[in-house]
Amino acid sequence: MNKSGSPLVFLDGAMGTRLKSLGEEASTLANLKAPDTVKKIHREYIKAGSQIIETNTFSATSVNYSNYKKLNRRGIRLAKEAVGEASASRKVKIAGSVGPTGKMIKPVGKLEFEEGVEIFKSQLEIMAKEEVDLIIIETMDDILEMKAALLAAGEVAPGIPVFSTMTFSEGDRTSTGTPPEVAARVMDSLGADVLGVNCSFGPEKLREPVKRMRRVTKKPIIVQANAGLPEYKDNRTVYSMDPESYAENVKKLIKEGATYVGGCCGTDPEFIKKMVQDFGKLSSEFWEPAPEKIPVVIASRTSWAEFNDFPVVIGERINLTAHPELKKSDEKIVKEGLKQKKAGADALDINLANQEERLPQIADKLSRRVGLPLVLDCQNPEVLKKTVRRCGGVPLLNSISGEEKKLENLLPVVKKYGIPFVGLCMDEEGVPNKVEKKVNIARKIVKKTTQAGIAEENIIIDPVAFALSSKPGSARNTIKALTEIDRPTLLGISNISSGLPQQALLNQVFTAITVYRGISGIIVNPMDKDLMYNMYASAAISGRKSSVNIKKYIEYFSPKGDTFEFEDKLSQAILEGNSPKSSEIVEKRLDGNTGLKIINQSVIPALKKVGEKYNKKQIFLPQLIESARAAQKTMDIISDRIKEEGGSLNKKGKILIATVEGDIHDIGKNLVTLILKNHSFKVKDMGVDNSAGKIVEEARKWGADIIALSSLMTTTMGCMEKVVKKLKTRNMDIPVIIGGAAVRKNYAQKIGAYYGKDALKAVDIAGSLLEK
Amino acid sequence: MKKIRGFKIKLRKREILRNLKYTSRVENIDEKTEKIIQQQVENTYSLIYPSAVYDTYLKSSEEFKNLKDDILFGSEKAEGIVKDSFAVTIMAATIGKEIEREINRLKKDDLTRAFILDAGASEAAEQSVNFISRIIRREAKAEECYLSNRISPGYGDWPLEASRSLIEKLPVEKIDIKINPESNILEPRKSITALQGWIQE
Repeated sequence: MNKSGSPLVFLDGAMGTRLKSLGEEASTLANLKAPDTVKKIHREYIKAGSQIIETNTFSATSVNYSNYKKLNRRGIRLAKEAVGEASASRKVKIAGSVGPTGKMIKPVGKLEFEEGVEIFKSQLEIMAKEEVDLIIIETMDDILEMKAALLAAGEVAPGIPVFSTMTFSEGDRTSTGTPPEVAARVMDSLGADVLGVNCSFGPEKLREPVKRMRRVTKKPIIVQANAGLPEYKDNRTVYSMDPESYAENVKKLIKEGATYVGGCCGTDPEFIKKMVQDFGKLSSEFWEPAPEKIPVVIASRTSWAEFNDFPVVIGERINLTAHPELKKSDEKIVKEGLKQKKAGADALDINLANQEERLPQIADKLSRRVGLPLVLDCQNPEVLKKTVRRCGGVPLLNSISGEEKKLENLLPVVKKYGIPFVGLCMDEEGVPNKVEKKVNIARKIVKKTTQAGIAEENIIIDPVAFALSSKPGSARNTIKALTEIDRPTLLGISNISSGLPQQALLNQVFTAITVYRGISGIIVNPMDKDLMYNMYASAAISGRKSSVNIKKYIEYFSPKGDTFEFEDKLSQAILEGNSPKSSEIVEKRLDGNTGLKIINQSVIPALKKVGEKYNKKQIFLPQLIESARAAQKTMDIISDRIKEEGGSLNKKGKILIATVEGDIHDIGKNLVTLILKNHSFKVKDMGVDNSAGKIVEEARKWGADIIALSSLMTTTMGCMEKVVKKLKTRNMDIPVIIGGAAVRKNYAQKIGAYYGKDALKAVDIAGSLLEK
Repeated sequence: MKKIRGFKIKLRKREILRNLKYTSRVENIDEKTEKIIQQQVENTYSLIYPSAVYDTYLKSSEEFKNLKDDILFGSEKAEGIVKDSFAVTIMAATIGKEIEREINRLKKDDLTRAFILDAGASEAAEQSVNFISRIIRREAKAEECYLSNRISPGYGDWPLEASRSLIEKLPVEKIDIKINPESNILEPRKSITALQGWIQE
């Protein structure tokens, strides 16, 4: 909290883009080449009101620079000198900036997890030695890389506060698929003191991530956004926001709960100044406070589950004692995981019996292939450490009993990696039957855990269910204990039925009752449909969070997936990629309708829906192509009929498409051609291996409105630049769209072309170019 | 130098689907698409002829010292692997020309099948180098070494030109691989060159 009593803390803005605007190279090397400019920028930010400034060390890792040590030391010293020279009345803190290594960690990339940890350690060791006030790990989009950096910070810079931020893309996920809840919980659990978001698309797109993070962490939230979306104008990157609009949008993020605010790419001292002026007077009632209670959350890299009012379904079937056939191969285990996911499991329990040493490898495979949060049924601290350390989310440890020895053994793992665990109501005397004893053990576990410095929200209690065949009256006590234990609860449901006939029936009824009594998680066989029906029905009847639970009930029993269906049969045939059917329908329909009407009413809406589904990844390439082919056949039939009648179909514009010189790959280009034709463009395809001269000449002769170029290889990409240059020297004002495996957006920007990321994007660009 | 021709590989359907931009968000693979994919996977098997040549050099050998600069091109990535290694294997693998002819034929009038066969062929090429990696892993193990990551020209900072140098050091004519001298594109197109280091345990 700052002196005025407001919890708002102002950081600084961009270093890289600011360096560039002052005519310097936007890199860490500026610490050596232009130290005075770096210092000047620090001073500007301090003057503008920044309470924390970041060192210019974002990319100064051993991967990027052999002289990284020097770059880091120099970066920190420049910040210190600037603070010394600025003579600000307030204390300005120095944050050591740590960015991604540039190498992705397995499975997204090829770097081993521990190699990643070592790279961060080598940078962080210097920061600790040079005594930065805090460390800021920023612009991460891979949760495992964030994890590596946070672990490294905990190991080589203990005691130094750590801030951490991730970058979000469209759809409120990081580019590697991590949602805000998972990001927040992973950063929180690994010891980040302040956590949040940075860079990304600008502050207005960060509202949802901030809101969602606020719900699952008590830690302060930090926001350092870009100054809007970057655009490429007149050979340089410009950002769309000015200080006023930036501040206006950040204010909305403060309302959602952010209290540490600064800027990223495109922001400058004016942005900070404006925020300091505008937000200084905000009343502390303005923003969403940190929640007093947060749910227990478990997560994989891409999905999460909360132990709340609706029970988390944990699939029990990866249990090598109960299912020894799974011992044969990892693949069998993965398949069992996939089946349970399909059946509705929210998480997977893994019990490898006497093959515990396989856990790190199996957990890794299940994370990659199934993608559900994992519940680790394992008591070996060494195996657990190895598994949890490089797991892409937050697994749940199942379980730690109230026995002193077990608590001593396992709580350190829970603490270091911040994972939640299941406290088992069992102690040195065994599993008690009495309700009171169960509750007492639960209290003891909570006490011991919080005494060890572990947050209470990491504890779930299992009151333990006996087999009815051995202790007939015990189930009643277990059920009673559920309502008396003041923590989220969980049970292995199937224990109850062991040794009795009609086991499934007993499990279903026990599920219904425990869910009704408010259990937070059940370990069950999700493939038992009746059990799942019972769970949804019981949760709906229970009346807890009634609106949510009834909605879940309705959703569960509604048909799955996007059930969208066109009433128009032709549109539906195109959506299904059914060419024979679409051809048949259009032939018939042409007898009473004009071609244009059919295109507008049936073909265009179908193509729009296909594009939407492909962009949402609800369909994949073969389905996209089949729909495009069905649409093309329809268009050809319509066009032929119009020609027969002596007319012609109006085209939107002429696009010349070619694969460039030296490149013989054309399968992607053929797809772009097909999709452009679908959308009523007149397309001329020059095929493969075309020189710049040949392409420009053909564009002139044919009168092309747009040129579209494809290249798969980096070695042949140069031809694209030649085309753009040739057009310029001949004063031909024809826009060029480029795409293909080797092409990246920044290359397109550099050469002055438009970047067609895929066929659908090319259609969008071509459409808007012709509108101009 | 070793040459292996006509070895058997297994195609991972999951990888083929991934090449076709399949993700867990795809709602369902309809019956028709499923059938086309199955057919093209079977076609891939019948149209490939995996072959490979590879050679291993002791890092300390004169031979390796002579070729080192020619293949590394100052790539930090490649040099990193060589630096940590005791020996280095260079390899070239291909799945033959026939599948490419079929892809070319299909892409004129059946782009869907062409795309799926192309995805199958990419996976086959990948599995062909994986096959060689498995063999050298066994050889390396016998020498108490494990293998580094495998890298191929054109990825990271290792330029595509390195592919030509690797091709020149290997008797690729025995498995019918050629390289376009200007663009450095390999022919058949679904061929891969790579380097892998042996690291002492």
